Amino acid sequence: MSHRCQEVISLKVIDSHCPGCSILCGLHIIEDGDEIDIDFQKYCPINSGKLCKFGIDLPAIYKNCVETCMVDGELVCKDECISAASRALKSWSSRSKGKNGLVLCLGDATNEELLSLKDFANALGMKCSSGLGHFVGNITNVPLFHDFTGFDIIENSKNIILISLDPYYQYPLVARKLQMAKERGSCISSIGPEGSHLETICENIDLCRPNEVLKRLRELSQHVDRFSLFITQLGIYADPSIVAEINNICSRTSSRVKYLKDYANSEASLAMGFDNYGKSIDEIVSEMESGVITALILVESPLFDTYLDNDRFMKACEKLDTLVVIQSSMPKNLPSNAVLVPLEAFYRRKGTLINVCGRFISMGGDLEGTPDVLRKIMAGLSSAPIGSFLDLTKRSREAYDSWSANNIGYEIVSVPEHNALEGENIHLYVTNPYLLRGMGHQLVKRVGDRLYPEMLKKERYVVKQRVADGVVLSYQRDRRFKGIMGLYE
Amino acid sequence: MSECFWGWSMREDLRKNGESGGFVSSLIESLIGDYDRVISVRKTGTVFEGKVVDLKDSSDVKGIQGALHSLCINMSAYIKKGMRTAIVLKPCDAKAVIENMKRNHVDRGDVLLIGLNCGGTLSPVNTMKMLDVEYELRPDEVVKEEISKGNLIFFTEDNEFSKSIDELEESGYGRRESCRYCNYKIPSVCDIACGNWGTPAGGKVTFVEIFTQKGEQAVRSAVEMGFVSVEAPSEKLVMVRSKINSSMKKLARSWKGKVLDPIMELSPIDRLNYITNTLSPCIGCYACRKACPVCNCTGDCKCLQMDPDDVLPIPQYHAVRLLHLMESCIGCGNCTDVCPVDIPLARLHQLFAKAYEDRTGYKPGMSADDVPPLSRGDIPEGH
Ligand code: SF4
Ligand code: SF4
Ligand code: SF4
Repeated sequence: MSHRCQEVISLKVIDSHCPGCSILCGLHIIEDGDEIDIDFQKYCPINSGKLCKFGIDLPAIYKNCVETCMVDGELVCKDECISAASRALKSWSSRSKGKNGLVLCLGDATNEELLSLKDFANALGMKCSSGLGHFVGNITNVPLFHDFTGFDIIENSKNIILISLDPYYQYPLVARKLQMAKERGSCISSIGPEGSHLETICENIDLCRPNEVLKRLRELSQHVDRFSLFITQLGIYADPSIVAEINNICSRTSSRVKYLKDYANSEASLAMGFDNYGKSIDEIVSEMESGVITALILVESPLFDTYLDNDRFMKACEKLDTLVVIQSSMPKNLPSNAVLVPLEAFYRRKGTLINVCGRFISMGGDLEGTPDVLRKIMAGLSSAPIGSFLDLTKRSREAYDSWSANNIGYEIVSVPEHNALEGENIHLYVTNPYLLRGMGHQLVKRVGDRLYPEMLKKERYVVKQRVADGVVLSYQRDRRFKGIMGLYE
Repeated sequence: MSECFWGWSMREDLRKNGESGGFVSSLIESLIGDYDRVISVRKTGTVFEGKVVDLKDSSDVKGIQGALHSLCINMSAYIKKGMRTAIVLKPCDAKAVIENMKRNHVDRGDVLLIGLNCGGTLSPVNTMKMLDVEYELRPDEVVKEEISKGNLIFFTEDNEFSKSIDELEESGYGRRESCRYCNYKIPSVCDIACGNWGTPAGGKVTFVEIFTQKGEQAVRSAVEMGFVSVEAPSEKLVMVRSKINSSMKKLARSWKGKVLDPIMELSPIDRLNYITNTLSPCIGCYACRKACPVCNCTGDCKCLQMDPDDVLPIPQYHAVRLLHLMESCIGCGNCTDVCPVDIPLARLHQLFAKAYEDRTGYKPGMSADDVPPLSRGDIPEGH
């Protein structure tokens, strides 16, 4: 045959899972030279190839990879940033005697990465947090993270109650299951703020402000039974009082709850016994401010751009004695005292994950990610080494098996005081992958450069006011969401 | 030109284990090195799991999935302009490639299209469920699946299990909706079309129809290099192949009658209501656009510029797509497959495309030289 191209660019198709939320939808990542694209993985039993907008936009997210290493605001080479991290941690460790240090990883890490971080923290006398520790600390023995029924439970439940959930915008893949449930004759109700399209699936919509949800829940508890299923969100900004109340209703009535979680491997944080700090993100930030926490290793947790009060988080970070940031996506803001260690994009890593349905799944990449970085940092610390990747995978499997075999029931817990605010703010306990990754603009940017400034004026997406009060405000790009904004303005 | 053969692999392992005598696997093996990319699908688990591979040497050929029935991959997305590519694809993928040639995204001279005849594809997850419910089989027991004489047949190591497609489809299983009314079964726009229609029972050969000089050259050189062997098919089985093709087309017409005609027969206002209601759960994820093999504008794409705040009954994004795709939707069904809220998009797009075809006689994806009537500006009077 005739001529060939001068340079043959390789095409690689990688089996992967979307890191957007804990559903972990299956997809293929296509690497074609420098270009990254996705293809639908229609055989994946989790999502049958379907993706929400976040999954569709993954190429843009993966293109924003951290390619630079930074120490105290200066660009350095990778070796230098690893040694800087080692030096900083060594000096902190000798001064603090191993106290007051925290490894914070919200979830976009494989089981192997979580275990290696745990080993690393143990070696340095640090604690670990997934940002969900306050649920574990306050509501014990609850199968919060322990629901193995998968999404079929949704299709098969007769009575489904959505609590402060907007499935079409937060978890479209769940919306689809709700549609199927409705077709099979389930009665679906919603309690909470208005949502998009709720009327297409819900028979009863009880519109109320977030701070009224608890009361409505209590009233409702007379009418639920073992055929009822609650669905709500359990993320770092979820309302603990609602989580506790739902748990108690389940305990009293034998109904069940499906908690949807925000970060890729949130489910595994518990299975791997990662979180041993038991504090919420707000409590952790307060401790950084007050000097209780002096060293922070922040792994795949883009809080500089997404913590509800960015300034507060930045200032709290700048108070730290030592801050090591291990991250794959480039933060828009970075505190001046940070050592930034780049991590490979999620899809390039190998290892295992646990999704919100309790599935143990494998990633198709070939790089270790965090364990590799930690081993290098550890080399300068003379502490116990991080085990081999094979060993970490074996331990992940063992931890998963024992976690999934431990079938605990719902037990009555005390309901924490509800602290949502009245007033001018928009109180929505609604997040989606865009918000959590600081990408509120993305939805609007899709209209193109010409219209973008116009949309900015018109749309009230991601309004972050008085965030210290602990509410998640909302976003949106289309008229259907304006109703929600109107309700609380 | 069109010439027919029976062909088979000269590699013992591929002839024994490959689909229909391993002809396609060996043909593409013979092309490695001649093309920048030789693209096919490799099984990664059960016959329902696989991914696209760019074959670089003979060892890559093992595990190549001849039939793509249960994978439903949009193969045309893997052709990159400027890369000389030999690719194995389904008839709808081939039509998509033709549409992309019209848009100057693919050069005809750069590609060798090896088509596979197709009686329809199956959604993998739904099929795995069907296996359990209807066939009482596990996915990992299945070594091959086939559509033949109105039946969907699954083969295990030592048995075969057959059920009527009609009955399966009535119960919500079987082929994807768009495949049921697709009437393009032998990909004549390719350089070569391969399949098992018109082959002797248990004969371990592939029926190969060659449509272009390039196709002929590829087969000839694979024979000369000892990768494959060919012989003339029997007249009788050539007729059988043609009859299978006709009966598949007849079945497609009857499905069109069941799915599309009732909507076409609605009054204009009821039809509009049907379309707006069907589109109402749309969450604006743009997956349908991403998955569509013929809708691949780059940069300043019109449908992404639509004000999402619009108050029209059909959001402008969909209105633009329905109109633009009216003369290019090739009915592959990818949009329906990927919609996270299960909107039957292909049905809507085909509704427009079929109406357009009925009125103008124009069929997209059939020749890179065809110019759509709207672009020619010669729509027949009264339409
Ligand atoms: S963000 Fe969640 S629902 Fe969306 S594609 Fe990713 S994993 Fe699936
Ligand atoms: S509109 Fe749908 S059916 Fe038509 S070509 Fe595009 S993806 Fe295929
Ligand atoms: S895939 Fe479905 S939900 Fe997404 S934009 Fe298309 S029609 Fe709307």
